[in-house]
Amino acid sequence: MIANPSKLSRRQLIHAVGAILATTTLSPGILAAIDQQNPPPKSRLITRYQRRIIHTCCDLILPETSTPGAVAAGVPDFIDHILVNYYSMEHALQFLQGIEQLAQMGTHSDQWMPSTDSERFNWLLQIDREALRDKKQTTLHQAYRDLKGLTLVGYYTSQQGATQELHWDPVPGAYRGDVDYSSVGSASASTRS
Amino acid sequence: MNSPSFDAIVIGSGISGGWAAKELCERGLKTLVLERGPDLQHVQDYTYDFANPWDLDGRGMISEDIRSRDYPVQQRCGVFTEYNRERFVNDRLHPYIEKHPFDWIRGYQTGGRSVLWGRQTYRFSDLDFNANKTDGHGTDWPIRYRDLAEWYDYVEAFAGIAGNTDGIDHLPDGVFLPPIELNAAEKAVLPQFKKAFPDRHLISARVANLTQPKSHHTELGRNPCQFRNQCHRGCSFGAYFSSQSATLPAARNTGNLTQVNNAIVKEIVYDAEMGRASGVRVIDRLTHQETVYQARIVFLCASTLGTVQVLLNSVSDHFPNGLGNSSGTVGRYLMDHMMVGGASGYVPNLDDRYYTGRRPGGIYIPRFVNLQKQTEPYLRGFGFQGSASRGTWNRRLNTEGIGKALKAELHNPAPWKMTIIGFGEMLPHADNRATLSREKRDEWGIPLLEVDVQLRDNERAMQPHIIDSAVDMLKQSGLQNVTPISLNYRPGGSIHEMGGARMGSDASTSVLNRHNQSHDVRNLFITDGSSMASTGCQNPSLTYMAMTARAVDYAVKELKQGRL
Repeated sequence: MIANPSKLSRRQLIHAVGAILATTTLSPGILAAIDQQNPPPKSRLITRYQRRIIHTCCDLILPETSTPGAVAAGVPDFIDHILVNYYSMEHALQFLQGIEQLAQMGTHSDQWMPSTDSERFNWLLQIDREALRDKKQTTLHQAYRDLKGLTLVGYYTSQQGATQELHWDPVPGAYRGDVDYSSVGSASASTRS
Repeated sequence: MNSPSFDAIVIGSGISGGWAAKELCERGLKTLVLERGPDLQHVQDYTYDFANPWDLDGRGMISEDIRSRDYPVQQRCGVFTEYNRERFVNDRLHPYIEKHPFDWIRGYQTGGRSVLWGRQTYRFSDLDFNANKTDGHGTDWPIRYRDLAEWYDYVEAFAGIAGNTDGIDHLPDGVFLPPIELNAAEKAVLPQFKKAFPDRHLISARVANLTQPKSHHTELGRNPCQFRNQCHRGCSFGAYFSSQSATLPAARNTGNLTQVNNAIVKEIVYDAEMGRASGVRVIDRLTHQETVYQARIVFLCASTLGTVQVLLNSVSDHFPNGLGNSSGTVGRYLMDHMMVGGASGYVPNLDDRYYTGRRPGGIYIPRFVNLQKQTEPYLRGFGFQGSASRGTWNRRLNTEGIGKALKAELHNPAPWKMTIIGFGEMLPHADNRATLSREKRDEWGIPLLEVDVQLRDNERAMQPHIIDSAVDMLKQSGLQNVTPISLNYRPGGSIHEMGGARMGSDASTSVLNRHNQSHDVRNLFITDGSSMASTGCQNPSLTYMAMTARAVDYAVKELKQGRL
């Protein structure tokens, strides 16, 4: 519980909120107090720690192969941008709470994430299964579902993803409904058909 | 008071209003088009037409705060994205009241929803025009197919409709440009479909896109469809029919058109002494200044519910219940098409086939139930729209898988999947209606519309059959893993709302006569969806176009004979 939230600076408030988010949900009073504080730019919303988690997860979900991966395609910055400018404040804060819980889940010691590449991959794969096969309904798993969705969107609508990894055809000019797949070679970047 | 005067006023610049403007102007009438929303100029205002997805910082996503604050209803529409958000009405600024759930999906700008529509165009037949008489629901249409046939020819030729001559009695063929081809999966399914269902048809969708423009299309500046299937962003090629690409330029070319935007119609003014509408009172959306425009004839094409609202708000001593409402039926017999769901399934053994380009239309399965007589436990019927396609990266948004394996999988398209969604006819019912709120008004002092539409017995009886027959059809056509699709349909959800000012022969039970002319007010014509006496199951816009062109022809002849 935060006593007198209106007496804290916004930075102190976000820090205090972050500290307790593991065990409580955001109360309307806290949300109101956050709004009241004449907030600094929303770009300060995401901490460096949270950014590292997002960066790591993006890279695991869509790694570099023979084509750029999510990180090279600017997906972490895209996710930042969405959190700040497209998600509601409530959604963004819940997402960030879930992301921190996600990172904590992977620890064996007081390290914030598993340390080897294969451990990290298996840790995220496990969460992916729980979130998307088992459809677990916790803040952590909802945040993961959001994160994965944003990673896919951010990558496949990026210039690298759309034009290098997939088949990019902005003005086809005609419709050919029955062609050899080998003459196209990859899936259409457009979600329309 | 300054009361500018015209030969004709058209209220609304959408599918119907654009046609009224063109036809009136081409017959030499000085015509004023009043559009309640801002202008949306062809090409110049199609901001995202050539945008790459990465050009939008949100990649097509809409801010959650904006979505919930300004578009709580519009967001229910499946095609709503940042690319076209500004063509959807701002719900917060234009509220209405849902007495029962009703999705009123609107576009308030030049062109109305003609800049957002799905472009599917099918004729009604006498199966539809006879329906009310046959089963007694609603009042008999005062017209039959033969009254509209030449007008369908006329509007199809001008609009440019891609389609096939299919020879189906209850889905009459039209004046067509070359059809859009079926793709590999659809062609593969067709023989099995025909074998399993010899009396049913699976045809190319008929769409208002220029597969091969004629000279009168290119003269208007229209170009062939480029098969991007992003029509709802606005098409700078003018390749699909909209007021912007087609009817308004034609109207403007006559020199007889005056278009005023931000002009919200409060009421049509009735001159009791002359026994006619004398003009239209408008309030400016931005300045709130009021102006009365006068005209000899008025075409009310404000869309189904917009028209109802204007009529109900046009109150006078002579018409205390709304203009032209001596029957008491204005606002009643509202209908929609039930878009409750359908089915999807996979088409096997075609992984080496793909497509290039993106089609604005796929397949159509016309109604096949209750054709000669009622054989089902419900009246009337439904048709299906659909297509086959190979899923791309967004198929994995909600499924498991990460890493190199995910990326490798998404590098290739998914197997072919066919989806069909049904559109079911809704019966006219007196208590499915819209009225004006007694308590609440909008920013311009106009009472809010209260919409009260419910599904009734026949709709509930039909619903499961739509989905069951979709599943059955796909299964018997050889598709695998066929699953039903259940959409969270609410009335209004197909964006085919109709009724509220229906045509009929009897002035005591209808609003309009066989010429879309008000029974009560001879110089008032209504040709949008509100005029429909029944819905059929076909997309209605083509019928609005044909009725509008036909009604203008009649109105101008009557005007010139001094009878209006």
